[in-house]
Amino acid sequence: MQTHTVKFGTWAVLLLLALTFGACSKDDTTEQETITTVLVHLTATDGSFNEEFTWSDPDGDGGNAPVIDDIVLPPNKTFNCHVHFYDLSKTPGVDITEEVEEEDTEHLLVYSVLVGLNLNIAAADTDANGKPFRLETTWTTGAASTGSVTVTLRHEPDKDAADPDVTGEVDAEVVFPVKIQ
Amino acid sequence: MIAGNVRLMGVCWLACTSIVPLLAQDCHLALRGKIMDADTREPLGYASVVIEGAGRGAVADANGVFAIANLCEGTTYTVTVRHVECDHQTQIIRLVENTALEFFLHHHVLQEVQVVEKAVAPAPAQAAVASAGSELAAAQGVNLGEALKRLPGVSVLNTGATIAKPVVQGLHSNRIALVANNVALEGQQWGAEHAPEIDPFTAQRISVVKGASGVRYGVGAMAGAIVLEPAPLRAQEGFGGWISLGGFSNGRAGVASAAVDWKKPGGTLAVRLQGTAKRSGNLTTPDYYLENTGASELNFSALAGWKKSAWTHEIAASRFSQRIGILRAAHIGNLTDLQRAIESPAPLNNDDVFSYEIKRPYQQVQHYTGRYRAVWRLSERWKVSGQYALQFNDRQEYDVVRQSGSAADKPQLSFRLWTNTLDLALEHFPINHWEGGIGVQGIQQTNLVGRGGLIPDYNTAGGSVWVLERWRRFPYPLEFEFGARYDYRQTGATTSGSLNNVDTLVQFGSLSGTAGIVYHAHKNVSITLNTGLAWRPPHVNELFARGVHHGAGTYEEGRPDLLAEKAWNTNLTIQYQAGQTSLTLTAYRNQIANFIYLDPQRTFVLTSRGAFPAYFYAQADAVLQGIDAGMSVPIALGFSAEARASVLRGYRLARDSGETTTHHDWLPLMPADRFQYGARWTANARRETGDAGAETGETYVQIMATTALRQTRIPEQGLLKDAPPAFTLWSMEAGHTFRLGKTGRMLDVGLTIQNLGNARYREYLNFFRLFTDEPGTNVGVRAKLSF
Repeated sequence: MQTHTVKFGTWAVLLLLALTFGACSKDDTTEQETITTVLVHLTATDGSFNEEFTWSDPDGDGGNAPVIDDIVLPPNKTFNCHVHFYDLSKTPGVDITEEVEEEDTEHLLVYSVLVGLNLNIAAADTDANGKPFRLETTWTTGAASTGSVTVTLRHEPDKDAADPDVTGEVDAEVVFPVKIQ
Repeated sequence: MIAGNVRLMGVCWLACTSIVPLLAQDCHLALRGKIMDADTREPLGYASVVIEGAGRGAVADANGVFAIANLCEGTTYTVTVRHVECDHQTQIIRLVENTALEFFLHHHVLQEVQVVEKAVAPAPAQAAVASAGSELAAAQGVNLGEALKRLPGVSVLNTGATIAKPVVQGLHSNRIALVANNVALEGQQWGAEHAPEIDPFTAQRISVVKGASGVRYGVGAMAGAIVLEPAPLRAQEGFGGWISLGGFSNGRAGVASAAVDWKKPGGTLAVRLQGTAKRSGNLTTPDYYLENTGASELNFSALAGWKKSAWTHEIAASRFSQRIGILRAAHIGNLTDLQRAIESPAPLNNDDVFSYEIKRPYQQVQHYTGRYRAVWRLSERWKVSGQYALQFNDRQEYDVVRQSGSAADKPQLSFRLWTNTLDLALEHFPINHWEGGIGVQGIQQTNLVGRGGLIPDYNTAGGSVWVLERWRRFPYPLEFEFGARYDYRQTGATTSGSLNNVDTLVQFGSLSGTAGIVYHAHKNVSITLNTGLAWRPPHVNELFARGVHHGAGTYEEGRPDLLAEKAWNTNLTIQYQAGQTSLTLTAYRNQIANFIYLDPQRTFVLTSRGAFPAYFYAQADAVLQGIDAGMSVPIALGFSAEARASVLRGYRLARDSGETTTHHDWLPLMPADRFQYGARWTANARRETGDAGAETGETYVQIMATTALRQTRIPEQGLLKDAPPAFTLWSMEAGHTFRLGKTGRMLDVGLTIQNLGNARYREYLNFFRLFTDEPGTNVGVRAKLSF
């Protein structure tokens, strides 16, 4: 009886100590994937234009409002467009573009031009399976006009669907005001 | 002690519900009690009760109730209970006064009387319903929510088919208390998609105490408490235990649970080891599989108790571990996607095949509990008890991420919560018919939230002081109960990981109270009136949350200046019990000041995934009131009619901007009116005679229908999709108990069929009703061998 009492008491103490000290350190093992910043890099094919425009919300959802550049383009020109994604909520910031490129079959970019804006956007790349990817596009401006372009990054889309542009889930969706002048 | 009988499991127990004097002294005490089956908790009628050597005795009635009058104070009596189906039981008692002890008597306990005392004072003078025996066994294999939702007044808040939270009288999460094995569960209960970390197989009985229970169960018990009690430790020497196996067609699920009990020969040490393993795959609705709705679970618990002179010790440890897949189709990127998903009749992004694979998104949760409790009996009337409990809750949530990214092998959210609680109580058995105690509790909590979490890290420290007393005097038909408690909590919240910048200390303190009357109007009728105050400090998420709630497609923001919620809850219960007939009716009104809710704003918050509608935490006075009813009436030939009803109305006082007057606005997520009705057939329900048939076992078959009406009382704003239409579901349950010869072994087998007609329906209280139907037909089989 006595020995059992002691045994169980010891057991109890050991167990509680193990539970208490087992994991009190504050190691941080989580890793959020937040796209805070979308950068659109436009270069005119004739070399007359080379600018970057960003949509950035480095403090994440809520809090300070995002800072959004106006995309101002000259009329009647053709541009190569490359989109980049960053997580600037971390220090140092993380370039997510590489991950997106590595998994090009799992991603799809979608562009939507507001009616009235004289801008045409065409794909300039495909993924490893020859399906649309659109990280790189060709933008062609027409006459002077104003409007906006919505850039959407979709994760795990169904590229075999009738309209793949609405499948998968949205990882990033930002709206840039655009002026052609 | 007959060695061959040590294993006998036809366990009967005697609950002396009150041992009360007629006059305050001399030989005018009465012994009143009830004899019940330990496994089914059904009354055993017509047992004989004899006081050895005194030539006194009584025969219990059909309900197992007996009374023996004119016993002397301070005298030791040996009471023997005999029943045809059970071996006789002997209990040594000493009547003091107005006692409300429960004596758990097992077979052949001649030298040792096992006295299991209540944790905190006597049973509450409050409305309570319980699930035990075959009813509990039929639902144990699923989850805690399933085990409870058949009780009137209890419903379930679901996030998909795999995550279920119990709802008592319309309230859930931080507004009810969950007490398992005498420890209040401390997990991440604030989240509606965080299921309680409890293995229902550890409980022999699950009771739901309704009404404000702040005095007994502390901060947060505003609508009640759910109390899980394990079976008492083994009282007779040697080994015992059970093995339970179950299988379910929907999700092709399997569950196995087993326990081994041992009591040291010649000693007082008794030990139990228990474990449960569970695995399930994708569930299916009538039309499609639900991708990524598998789950796995592995739980262990250990319990030991021993006695030495005036000391009783108990030590317990448990580990709960679970991985739950979250429906892939419910993972939504932005509002446009959400609208598409809601409008689609079948879930989008859903792979319609069966699989056991649990992929991202999933939750992985572990909960550890360690507890030591000691009771020191100071005298016949006084005892001191102390309990220390440590809990560690480790929750990790894995989201859908890019395979090649740095996040691919890591969780996206993590919460680690340590809770230390220390309880000390001084309790007394009846003194001038008053029974109760006083106590103190200290609590300390640390919650560490991984980077990017919705809430900041926090440290909480608090304490409480309580007193609870109850007056009873047999055969006076009235009982009274009074209690008061003061709780203090201080929480320091600091940001380390999340983007949300917080560094604040908040303090809350408030009184809880309870007052109750039980009136035994007739031998079959009792009326219970209870009124109580309970409160709850705002949780850290309500104060400081900031971010997009993806499942709901909303941007949520906390409010650091929220006040504590205070509930004033009144319950009136009328109960009629005669033979196999029982009727229970509970009416309640819960008036909550500063009720905290999410208030839809007329603005959108722009994020890198598009715009989300903004919801800010706000508070207003709210009222929840309703009626719970249950009945069971025998008809003939072993058939009985069963019915239960739960009706609830919940609203808050709303004021539109610029208005000076208030109006009622319905609260969101209030359970729709729900009715259950059906018939039950039981063979061998009557056991007053010693016919041999009673030895072979019992059989029951039950067919029930559940009708839930459409919830039409919904808030003016904020509902993303209309409440689903009314539905009626049929379910069938059958069970048979084999008593295996004279060995005392029992084999319980059962069959359950949920959603018999494979009906397509959606539940208002399921967040995933936006995306999918509820699961279709589920056939379950179970077998439990007790030895």
